[in-house]
Amino acid sequence: MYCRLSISIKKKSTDNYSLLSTKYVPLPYKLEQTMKQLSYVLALLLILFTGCTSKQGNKNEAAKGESIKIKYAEGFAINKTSNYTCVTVFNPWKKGEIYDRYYLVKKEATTVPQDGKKILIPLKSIVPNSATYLEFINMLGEQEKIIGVPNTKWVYSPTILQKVKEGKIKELGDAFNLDIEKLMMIRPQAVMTPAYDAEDTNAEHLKRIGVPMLYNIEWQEKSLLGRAEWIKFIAAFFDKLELSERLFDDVEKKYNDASAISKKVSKHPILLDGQDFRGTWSMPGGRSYNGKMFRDAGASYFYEKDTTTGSIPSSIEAALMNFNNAEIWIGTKANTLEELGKTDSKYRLFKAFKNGNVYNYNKRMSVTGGNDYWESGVAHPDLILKDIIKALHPELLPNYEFTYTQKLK
Amino acid sequence: MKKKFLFLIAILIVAFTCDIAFGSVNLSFKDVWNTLTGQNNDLIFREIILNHRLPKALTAIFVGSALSVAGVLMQTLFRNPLAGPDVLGVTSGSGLGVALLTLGASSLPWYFVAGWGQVGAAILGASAVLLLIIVVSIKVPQTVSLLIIGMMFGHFTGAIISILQSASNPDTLKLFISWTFGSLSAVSWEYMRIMAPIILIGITLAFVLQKRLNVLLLGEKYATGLGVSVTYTRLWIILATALLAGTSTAFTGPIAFIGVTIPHIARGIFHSSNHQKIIPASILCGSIIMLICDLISQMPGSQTTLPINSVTALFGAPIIIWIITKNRGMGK
Repeated sequence: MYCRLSISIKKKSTDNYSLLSTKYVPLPYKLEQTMKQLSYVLALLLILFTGCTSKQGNKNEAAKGESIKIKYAEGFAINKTSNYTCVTVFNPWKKGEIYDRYYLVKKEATTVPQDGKKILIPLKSIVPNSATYLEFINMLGEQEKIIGVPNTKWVYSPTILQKVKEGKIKELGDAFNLDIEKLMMIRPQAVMTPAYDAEDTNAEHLKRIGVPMLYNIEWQEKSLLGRAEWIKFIAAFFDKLELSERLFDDVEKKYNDASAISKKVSKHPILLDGQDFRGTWSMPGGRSYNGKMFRDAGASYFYEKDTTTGSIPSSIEAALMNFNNAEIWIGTKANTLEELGKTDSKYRLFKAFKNGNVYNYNKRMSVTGGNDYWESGVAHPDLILKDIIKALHPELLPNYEFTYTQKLK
Repeated sequence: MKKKFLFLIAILIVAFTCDIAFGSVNLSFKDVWNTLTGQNNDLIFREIILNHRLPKALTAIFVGSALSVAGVLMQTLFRNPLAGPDVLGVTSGSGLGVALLTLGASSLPWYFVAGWGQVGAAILGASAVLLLIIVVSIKVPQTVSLLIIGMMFGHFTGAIISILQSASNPDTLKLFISWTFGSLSAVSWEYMRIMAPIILIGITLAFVLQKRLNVLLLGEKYATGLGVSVTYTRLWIILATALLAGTSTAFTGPIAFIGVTIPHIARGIFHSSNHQKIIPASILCGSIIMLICDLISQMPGSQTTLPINSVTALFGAPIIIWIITKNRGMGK
């Protein structure tokens, strides 16, 4: 009922065509529009209903003091004063608003402004509620402070898994639905978590027992280097800012060096990413971190002029139209070409499939399915970039071995 | 009969105690008792027992009763043994509300998802479908048509949810899927203050209606002959069901099968279809089964908690098969 346009096109005289008197536009597009409108209405109603529970504060009251240089990340800021370090997390969904603020102090007695949580640093224990934080903590040499992790089935890091086995790190259930009783019993000094489960009942429990939630919204960054720069955010809580700056500068240099190598080539092979999943093929948008990285790797990408920062829902038919000539195909789920061809015979039609230039990110995986690409990859964008460059232009990196990527046999 | 009620009450008390005593963390009975009586002031123990397990167990009782009573109402209204609280489409309405909120559009600020957002969206969705159903029930005199229309609402909203799911990214999808698992621990004391009174109103309505419900069992013509206005009664039944099913779904997420199966268990225990017996019996049985399901879902010693929605279905599905094979239907 939503997709009917009021403009009617010229009607043919026969009765058989009378159904065509109104034009129907493709459902997904219209639906998206309608959904948008609907959600605005819903949002409005919710504002009335919730009485505006959104977080208060704005950028203008930014803390004084010397600010730490943040080059790529847009999601946080760090300011140092003689008494405390102020860490501000910005709201990625509402420009100019502050999501949360922390005042890091070394002595309990230090007084801090009222608009943030006071955190005693360096942290003595932490629960990272996302596997993407593990490598950052490891690089900072603070792995000992981790006392609990969720979803150990999906964790790759062998040292973390070993500690879970030994009982030094507690398994805390599902990241979206933490085992709150166990979490309270181990009583970490802080829980670092992505922001999507902001004010659920678990957060209330933790607040009452005095365990702060530290919101790390690294996954909303628009570039791989931006995501990697969140090492500074984590480092602040361990009082290791200087180390994190050195570590990040190193990663940045390696990334830019690799990107510079790929700029030398004139040939830009067409790249295809991902795989259809039940009718939807999610493709990285042109402004998403992967879209940017494809450019840095010297690839030609169908959506490079597109302005979407997230992913674009596409389909296998559209992929065949737009990516038929792709020479390199990365990010598939299958492990062999045969397996890929069996999932959908249409995959065999892609040029990359015929040439055997198909890759997945499954090189480093734990027995239970933890994939290091999603885990330490966040902290090592240089390695991800090199993997893609190696797949696109093997001659540029003759001595480099794939880190996360492997070619389908 | 009195003995049976006393027996059920005794089981309820035992189940309630066990639900508070056992959790994913092993606490000794002494600790639990001392915390409940205020002799143990350990912050963490108090938080686990008083603010986590206690509201969770109470929620199990409220939601278990609400869904069971809603089931009784629907089975009597439609004179169909397989009717449940979800046949009106009200619970699907809550699902649609939450889906629109969590998956709807990237343009929607995400933190509405947090806190009251999800509950608010679920209530809005349920109310929207409820209004539609009331309009339909006034316009359509046949009760069976109402059943079909209700189910169509369910399918319609289900379809929109599927479309939203297929076009959303894995993180938001996971957020929505987690909601569909159902969660008794999502109800904090703050939510309880809203949820409990609404459910109590719904249950009171059911008690007020019990004589009319008994007359309805004889058939609509008999009911009219006895001077009961069917349209009017139907409206009240729908309202009570929507309050009960809509509210519990809004606060805990969808919980399957309880509403369909418990009324049968209640009828089986009391060998009666008299609502004066089976409404209170359903309340007791529903609460007991919900508490047991909650205990199973967080099996002491196991690493992960099972979704409460699956646990109830594991219980419920075999009972439904049993009903069909024995073809008992309702004590006609």
